[in-house]
Amino acid sequence: MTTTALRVMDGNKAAAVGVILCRPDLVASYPISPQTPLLEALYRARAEGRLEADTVEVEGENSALSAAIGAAAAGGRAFTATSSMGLMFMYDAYLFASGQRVPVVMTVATREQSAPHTVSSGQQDIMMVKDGGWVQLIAESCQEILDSILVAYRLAEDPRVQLPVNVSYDGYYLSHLSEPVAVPEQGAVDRFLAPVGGGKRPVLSAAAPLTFGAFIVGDLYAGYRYKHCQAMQAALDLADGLDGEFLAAFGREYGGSLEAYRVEDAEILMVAMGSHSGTLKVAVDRLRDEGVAVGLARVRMFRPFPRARLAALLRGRRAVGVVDRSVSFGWNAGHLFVDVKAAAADLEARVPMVNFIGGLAGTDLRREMLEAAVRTTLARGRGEPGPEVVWLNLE
Amino acid sequence: MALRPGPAGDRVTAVTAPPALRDTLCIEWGACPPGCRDCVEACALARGVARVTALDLAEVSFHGALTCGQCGEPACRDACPTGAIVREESGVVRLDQERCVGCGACAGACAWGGITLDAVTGRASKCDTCGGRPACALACTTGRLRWVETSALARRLGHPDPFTQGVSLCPGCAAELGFRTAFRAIGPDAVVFAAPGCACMLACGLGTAATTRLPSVMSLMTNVPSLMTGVARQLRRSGARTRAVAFVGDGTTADVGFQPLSGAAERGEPIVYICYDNEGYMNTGAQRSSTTLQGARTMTTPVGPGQAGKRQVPKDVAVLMAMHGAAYVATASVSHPEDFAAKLERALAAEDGLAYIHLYAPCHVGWQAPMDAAVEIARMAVLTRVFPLWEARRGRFRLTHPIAHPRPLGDFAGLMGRLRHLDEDGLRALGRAVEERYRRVEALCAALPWQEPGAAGGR
Repeated sequence: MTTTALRVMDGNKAAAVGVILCRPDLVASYPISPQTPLLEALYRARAEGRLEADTVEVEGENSALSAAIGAAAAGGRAFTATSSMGLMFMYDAYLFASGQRVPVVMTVATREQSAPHTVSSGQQDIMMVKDGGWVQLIAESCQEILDSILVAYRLAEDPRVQLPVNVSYDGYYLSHLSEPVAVPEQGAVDRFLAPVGGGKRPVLSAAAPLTFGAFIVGDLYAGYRYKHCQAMQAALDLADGLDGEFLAAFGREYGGSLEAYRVEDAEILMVAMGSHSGTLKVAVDRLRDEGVAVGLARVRMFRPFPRARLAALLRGRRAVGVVDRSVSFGWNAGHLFVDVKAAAADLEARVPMVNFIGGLAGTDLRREMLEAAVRTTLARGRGEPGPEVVWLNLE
Repeated sequence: MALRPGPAGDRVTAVTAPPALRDTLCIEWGACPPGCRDCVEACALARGVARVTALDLAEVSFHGALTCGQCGEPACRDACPTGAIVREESGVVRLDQERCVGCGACAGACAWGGITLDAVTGRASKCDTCGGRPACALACTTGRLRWVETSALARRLGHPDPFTQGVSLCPGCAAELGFRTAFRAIGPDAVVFAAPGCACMLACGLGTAATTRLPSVMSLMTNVPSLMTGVARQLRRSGARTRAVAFVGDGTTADVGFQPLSGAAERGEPIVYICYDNEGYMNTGAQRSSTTLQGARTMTTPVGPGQAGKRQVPKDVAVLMAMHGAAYVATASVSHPEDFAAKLERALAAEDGLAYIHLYAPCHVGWQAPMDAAVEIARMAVLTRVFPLWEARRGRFRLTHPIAHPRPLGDFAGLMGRLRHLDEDGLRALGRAVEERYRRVEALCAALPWQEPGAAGGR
């Protein structure tokens, strides 16, 4: 285990430090709030000689991701970052990257979608791409942003996975929040990433020509999709083991695809992902002090979805409360809630569930609101009626 | 293959020696003045025995000259029992008279009358092109026999065609011709980029079958130059000299994919981007694009009482790219392969920025013309000034094929159905726009004249 002293930095800076430690070949960028300071940090690092990567400032997000895809397809390690409408503007390339199995890593400082227009925080953007075939990691803290980028490259470039990976973190709440962050030593990072280095994957080369993006008709197409699902499963299978390896290398662990917080003997279980999970942990601690048996399941890997581990945590609870910062139109519930319900469908006994939607457009999910959410969930577990979806701070 | 009649209405027949292009004797078939024997006499004088025959068939009004076509797979050689006939590297089929036993098998095997048994010597005799200065062509005052130097083009197209046969493009496709021509010039040290459209079928493979020997990327229509940016930069970073070369259509280039092209040009990415312009979305059934000629009938610019084809003038993408200050920009046409190949050389040499070539590649299907018309339409586009051929390096222009005396626009418009509805007024309006475009290029050439590399500071 090797870890240097703590340094105070915000989430964007932590992401930049993580990227620099991974020694990328190409960083492609287009500015959009709230990820812009991350890219500025990378350009500064390049100017100061702390980053050897080639950098390219493109004319739009589609090109940012495409340039990263190109570099990765030619054997390089590529990075880009975006948010909100920028993510939407790269959507065709986004699907191209995963279908083409190109191991790009991209951070998303999550933000609401227009319209109505806002630049404030929310998880709607990353939920819009959840089925785009990428691995989705969602961080809770600045430390976890940095650490997740290391894990992201390890997963992306693993021959069993070979998929692009998103590392998401709540815009402003994490991107602009300063926390103490332990910065790993370069040597330890190099060792952690060594198993996937060396460019052994199929790459574009005149010496050994390959066709990227072949035109497929008929049954063969299903084979590509099937293998893509296999790769997703491999990422899920690897995630928990990697957590142990990460602990050995850096002295920190997160629980792999899913973090279980004080779930022992919990009557009710809260489920969340992202920065408000930290607030929920405080709420759980306070309610535990009051004698309420509540725990938290924090989804760290939203795709592939850890359905088996989650179902095991849901089993036998009196009620489950899911907190979402996004809306699935038509389900009229949060995206995470829909997935949790689907995971619960495997259980023998029905578990009452309630969904809390809040924190949209950067509004606060305060501790007392989340404590109230826990109490509401508790009441549902005792049979009190109420709506399935509860909108917090609804104007 | 040797002398053969050309397609109906075309009396020009090249005497070529496939598969490689060679310097070659070109005889305009059946167009000689009656009774003229200048070529025969010149050959006899120079070589002792005439190896060219004058065919003077007054009864069928045919007056022409006949000689050996220097076949790629000569039947005379195959029939010769002594190995006296060989096809040389130069393309000349040569007869060794020392080894000839006068059996006449060669003359019997040749379907073209290109080799004969000489009654005086008792040996075969045939044309050997006089070492590249054929006496017959030098003596011909009518221009019906000409020595055509195609070896320069052969050298420029010196690489094998990297694409397989049997790709699913229409017979007579000019884009396919342009694609194959481009990569015979560029060679194997390239990654080829295609995008959805007709020509992608040469590059993207089909199922598990590859269609090219080159590494290839089937891009999206929206991200060709950006993918190329990443690939080109990574290839350079890894020490390879492999070039990233795109061959994509006008819809991708001028419309949905223009933003990344503009960005890549502004950044000076060292990529080679070839747009084959068939003036529309031909792969989806001939809808208009922003490069479609004004007045042209397409599926989305129909002709009727309310509309007479496309209303707008074409977007001049090449000029726009030159205005970016791109390292190299050119227009080219499938009808002028040597010009195209020379421009590809300059595009590849421009390693300090983006090179853009706008290749005119008529779609005979979408333009409603016969299957063999595409190249002739392209040629007429150049000769009528519809499509000026020029090039620019860092915004300094020159015409590479100035048209001092343009052919009437009808010579172009009459070749295709998409313009057939144009009446005199319509043709005049088209003509004004064509002249305006040509004069704009002329004005750019005058105001910002071409400079040879090194004459002006690079970027």
